[in-house]
Amino acid sequence: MQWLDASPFAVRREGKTLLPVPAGVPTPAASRPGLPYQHALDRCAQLAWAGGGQTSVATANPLHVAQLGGRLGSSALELVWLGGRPVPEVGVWGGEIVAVPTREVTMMIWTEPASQTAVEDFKAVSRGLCPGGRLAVIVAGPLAGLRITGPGARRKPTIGLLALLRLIRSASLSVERVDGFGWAPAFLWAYTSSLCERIGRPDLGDRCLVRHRELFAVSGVQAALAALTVVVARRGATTGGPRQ
Amino acid sequence: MNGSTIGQVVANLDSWLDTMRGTGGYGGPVSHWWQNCLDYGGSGLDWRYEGIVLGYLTLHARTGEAGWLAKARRAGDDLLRGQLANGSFRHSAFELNPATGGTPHEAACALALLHLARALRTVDPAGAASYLAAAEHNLRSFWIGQLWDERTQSFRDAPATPSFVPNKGATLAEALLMLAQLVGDTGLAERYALPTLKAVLSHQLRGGEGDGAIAQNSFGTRRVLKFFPYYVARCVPGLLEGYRWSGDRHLLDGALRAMGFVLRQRYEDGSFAQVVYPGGRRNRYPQWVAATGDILRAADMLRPHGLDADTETTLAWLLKGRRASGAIVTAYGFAEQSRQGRPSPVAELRDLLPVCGWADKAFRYLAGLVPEGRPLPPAAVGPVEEPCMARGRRGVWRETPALLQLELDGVPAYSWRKGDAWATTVAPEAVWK
Repeated sequence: MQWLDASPFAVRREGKTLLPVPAGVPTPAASRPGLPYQHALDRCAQLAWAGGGQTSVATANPLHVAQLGGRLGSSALELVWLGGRPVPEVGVWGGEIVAVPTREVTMMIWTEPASQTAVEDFKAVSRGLCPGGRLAVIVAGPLAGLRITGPGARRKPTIGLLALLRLIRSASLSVERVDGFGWAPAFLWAYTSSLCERIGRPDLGDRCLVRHRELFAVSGVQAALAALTVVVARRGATTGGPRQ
Repeated sequence: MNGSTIGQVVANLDSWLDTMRGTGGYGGPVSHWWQNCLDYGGSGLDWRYEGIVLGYLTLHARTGEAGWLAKARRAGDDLLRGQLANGSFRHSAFELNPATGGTPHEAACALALLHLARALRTVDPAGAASYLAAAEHNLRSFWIGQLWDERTQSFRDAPATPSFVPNKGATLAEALLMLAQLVGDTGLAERYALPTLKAVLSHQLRGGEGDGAIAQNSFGTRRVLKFFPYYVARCVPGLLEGYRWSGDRHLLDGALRAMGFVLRQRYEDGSFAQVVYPGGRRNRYPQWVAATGDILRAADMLRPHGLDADTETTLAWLLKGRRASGAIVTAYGFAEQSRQGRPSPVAELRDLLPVCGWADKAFRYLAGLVPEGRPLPPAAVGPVEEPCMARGRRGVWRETPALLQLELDGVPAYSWRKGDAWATTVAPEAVWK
């Protein structure tokens, strides 16, 4: 910290506890996922907060680890790492990192289930849910390949929404809510916005872009057609699901 | 508007700000032109700290009461506790929270810390030094270390993208000039701040109806010709600070022209258009209410330099936004953001939402108007309940010292318990970014 010493007005900061920098977040641009992921990660974090109790995160994506850790305060979270060995450096994560859940949780967040291992992973993930606990799954939709870019975007083929819903129902979990982020009409407005900009009407372009954001989040059936979907399911208060 | 009325408004705002504090500092949801942040309500170490710290320092200076200095320090301590090892601040991106590396937010935080350091220099040198060190760490590591573009001699908005945003550059230049003064390093001014202000001026229109307007941003050499009166006004303090430092009259001239443009975009009721485009086209809504404090402040700063403008109607516009909670509402006309028609008489959720990072602008400005040498009156605040629209549905908006809530058909559609990191209820009608 040479420059601090050069200042006559400065004090050394060695020995002071500064917060660690989240891994993979060296710059402002890299620290923010795209809009669908902002929505989806915020939705999961909000549900976890509202539910209270213990939350776990099951993922194979280090960026999601950093993002959810930043949102929920990772020291209290258990990370179920699904990405195989070696477990990557996850920086800000201060909680336990495990291969399968080690405790019952009231909320499990599962991001981008890989199609090849979804069935196996689901067994492991849902095992930790307590009666009445919630499972929130972030899953890519049909428009994902078309529109989702930037940090946080999926890397491997992920399970489809219908297959995920079948898995959830087979384990006697009830689907509470399906939210979708980024669907065709919203993207059409974004496209129209760029057209307006090109023909010299940025005023209309801005209005179209606002319309794009107004229509970005949908729920229910429309969510099935979105770029990214968050499925929220709950284990019945008395059902055992796949724990046996 | 007499001084005692203003004193009451400021006392109420202070009381409201206290209700918005959580573990890590001042929190709450955000509505904005670019994006909204309703789910996350935890602390945001962003530009709200500029107005909060400077507002409390101003109150301390005007009333002589030690309590205001303590509140400024408490806010400064939030920033110290939330600083990351790389110099950035936690959750510093305002409408993009919870994210870090927010611009101009981190520069605004650094500026707040520098003012605090200056205020404490003689009374508590050790305390002053810790605030100064935090600001210096941020400015050198984050801004100069990551965002300085040697080729263009200005600061980028993102490290990998050749880009520049004048209002952000102006805030940053203001902070760099203050740091230069406090640490006696003129190189900070000559090498970074003054070239950045030159870049601000290079985005300013000269002549014609748009004279004084400053383009919102640029990518490489491409200027984005959108002119936000609010952001043009945000350039003024930095340009003036540059003029004070260098005596370069181009900077003063740029500031005066900028404010001339802003005042030409004012409506009869004292409000301003949100965006002005080439050819005079406008997107009027949403119109800022609390944030007009920054415009009023910029105008007042220019009066000693020859600005002759009556800003009473704008002050009245701002004060019309007062609510019983002590807060000042954010905007008027959010529901018309995409249509730009006449707003309904019933305000939209995002209009009524009281936001720390907008209310701080009103707080800072009004703090400068309270009578000198007299304590503020006790706060007189109460709960808020009023009709509200959300996505075309009519509901009820409520605020208490502990809660913000939107109710639709008798059912909570949005609830944020003050101090919580996240909202407890976010129905589809309240899912907005």
